Amino acid sequence: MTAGTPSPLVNLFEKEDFEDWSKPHLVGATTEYSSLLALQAKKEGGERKYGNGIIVSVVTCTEIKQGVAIETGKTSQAYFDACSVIELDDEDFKTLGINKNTNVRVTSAAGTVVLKAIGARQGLYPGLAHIPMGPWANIVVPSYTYSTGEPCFCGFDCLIEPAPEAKIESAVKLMHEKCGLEYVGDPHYD
Amino acid sequence: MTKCIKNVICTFCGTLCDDLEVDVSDDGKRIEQVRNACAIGAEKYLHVGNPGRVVVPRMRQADGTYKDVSYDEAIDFTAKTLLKAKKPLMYGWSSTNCEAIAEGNVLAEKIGGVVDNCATVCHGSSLLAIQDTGVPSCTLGEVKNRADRIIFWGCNPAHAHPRHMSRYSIFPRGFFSAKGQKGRKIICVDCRETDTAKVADHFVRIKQSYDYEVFDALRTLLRGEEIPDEVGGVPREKLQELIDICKGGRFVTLFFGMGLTHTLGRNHNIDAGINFIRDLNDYTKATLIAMRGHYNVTGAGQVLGWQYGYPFACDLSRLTTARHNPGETTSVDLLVRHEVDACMVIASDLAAHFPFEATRRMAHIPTITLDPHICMSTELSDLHIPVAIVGVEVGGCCYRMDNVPIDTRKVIDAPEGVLTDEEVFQRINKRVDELLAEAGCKDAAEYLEYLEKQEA
Ligand code: SF4
Repeated sequence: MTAGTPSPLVNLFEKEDFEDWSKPHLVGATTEYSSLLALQAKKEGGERKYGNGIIVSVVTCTEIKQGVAIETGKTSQAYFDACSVIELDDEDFKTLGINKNTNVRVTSAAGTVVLKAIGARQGLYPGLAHIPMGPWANIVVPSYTYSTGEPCFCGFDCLIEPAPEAKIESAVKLMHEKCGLEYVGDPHYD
Repeated sequence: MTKCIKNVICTFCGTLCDDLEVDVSDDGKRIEQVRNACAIGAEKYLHVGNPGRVVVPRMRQADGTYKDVSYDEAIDFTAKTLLKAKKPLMYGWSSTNCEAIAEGNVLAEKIGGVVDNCATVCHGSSLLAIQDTGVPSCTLGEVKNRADRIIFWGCNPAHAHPRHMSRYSIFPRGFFSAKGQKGRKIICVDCRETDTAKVADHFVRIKQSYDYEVFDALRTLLRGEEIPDEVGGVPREKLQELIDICKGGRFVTLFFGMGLTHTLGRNHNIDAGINFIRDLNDYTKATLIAMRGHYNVTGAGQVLGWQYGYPFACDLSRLTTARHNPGETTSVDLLVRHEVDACMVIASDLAAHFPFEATRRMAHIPTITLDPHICMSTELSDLHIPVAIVGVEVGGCCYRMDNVPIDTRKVIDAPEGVLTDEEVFQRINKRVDELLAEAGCKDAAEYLEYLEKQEA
């Protein structure tokens, strides 16, 4: 698969039309949840490779750089640099066959986002990846809450595929596009 | 000449440091210098003067651009939107003072909204576990003066609460802990080797989402029973060593963070943690404290707690009774299931920190955001009302992570004409009363009927 083509998993996660009120919306992400289990099953099989990508468990946490950047402004370059990344273990870089600082496409049961893969700032192990909290991470965070109100911010499976040509969107543009809103340009960032 | 204001309270994270020194210009309008704060706290104070601050409300136009409107128009729009909605969600509250929260709850009760704070996506599960199990807790002052065993579990203060370690948990010398760091044993349990783990004496790496099992194994060991050779990626000997360290201490404190509440198990992880600490009290004194993120998320829970009996996810849409049912009245679920038809985001950034499925819903219903700065939520909402920054431009009561109330201070004046959260809520309340009186309705339910009749 070449960079730029959508991931084979994407149609697995086809959603119901979210504006259609007549359809039941019982447990928001049950659909995601079952495909999450499908991914899990693959992982338990011992094989983390999938196509030309790998399946990893992702955690999203706060970081000091992200904290400072929140105060600088969520439309700032600092926030972009701090949050639009995914940290991978060195071993996983080898399995993926890419160098550090390459863009990758991250697909979970909830969605797909392009991020820059960087080396671990804080120690990981093979099969564990970290995305700093923020709009980019939230595209792939499944919304299932196990009846507690808390979505799966930590410990959900993602497919990571190399996508060196793909572009990382700015936060506001990304949100507008994914929400299906018209994006009129961001005076603070563009 | 600048004047120096001492003992300023930093309003960023739940540590609520109360020893900042801020130099302000003579006219009391600019912040020149901040001392004692960490990188995040300093940025918070220094960036206040950055150009581009929004000082008048902005309303989104049909073409996606924003138009400046007056506070009066903004307040009228908000009152009407909230009254028109059957079940509006009022989410946030964790970066404002308790006075504003109380005033906001008055509004929520009037318009029949659902009040939810950031705990719903950070320590909500902890609150559920505390309701189930109780909480052997203490204040940070006690930790500083007494604790000689500190456990960080699923939290990373080096990044999220930068001065926590130097003020309370690792380095400070206290009354009974005169040796400071030398007298303390620090244990860090996490799936990543975080920067906190690097300063700890013992780092225990567990497999992601195996927290419950490890807590259970520790409790089993504590009772002198057998466990398997390895639990959650940790060898038995290591777990036994942990038990020995804890038992050997005079005062153990467990700090836990979102590593426990965000993974599989949620409130059950915390349940297990609380019970571990309770068991440990058979041998020594042991306590635990949740590492609350935003500076006043604890206060939001406190105010909601004493007013309605529930610390978060409080549904007032029945107007006469308050309901709390996690999984049903929690923000993410309400948004994902399309159960709310208007949204008000107060002093928090819903769009940046909710899973995207929930954010998308928020973007498609009428949304009003109260925030001093431009953030993701303001960019996706119909109306952005700028407010003064608590702890910088207005004081007020806030609760530290250990439930200690601290009165924050004002250091400079807010830009001219900018209202505080509390004032905005007072004015919305007044406007709602006026609208109800004009229509001759006694509550929001009657007003909905009135609107229906008008349309017909
Ligand atoms: S640790 Fe938290 S409260 Fe203290 S200065 Fe840093 S951000 Fe502010």
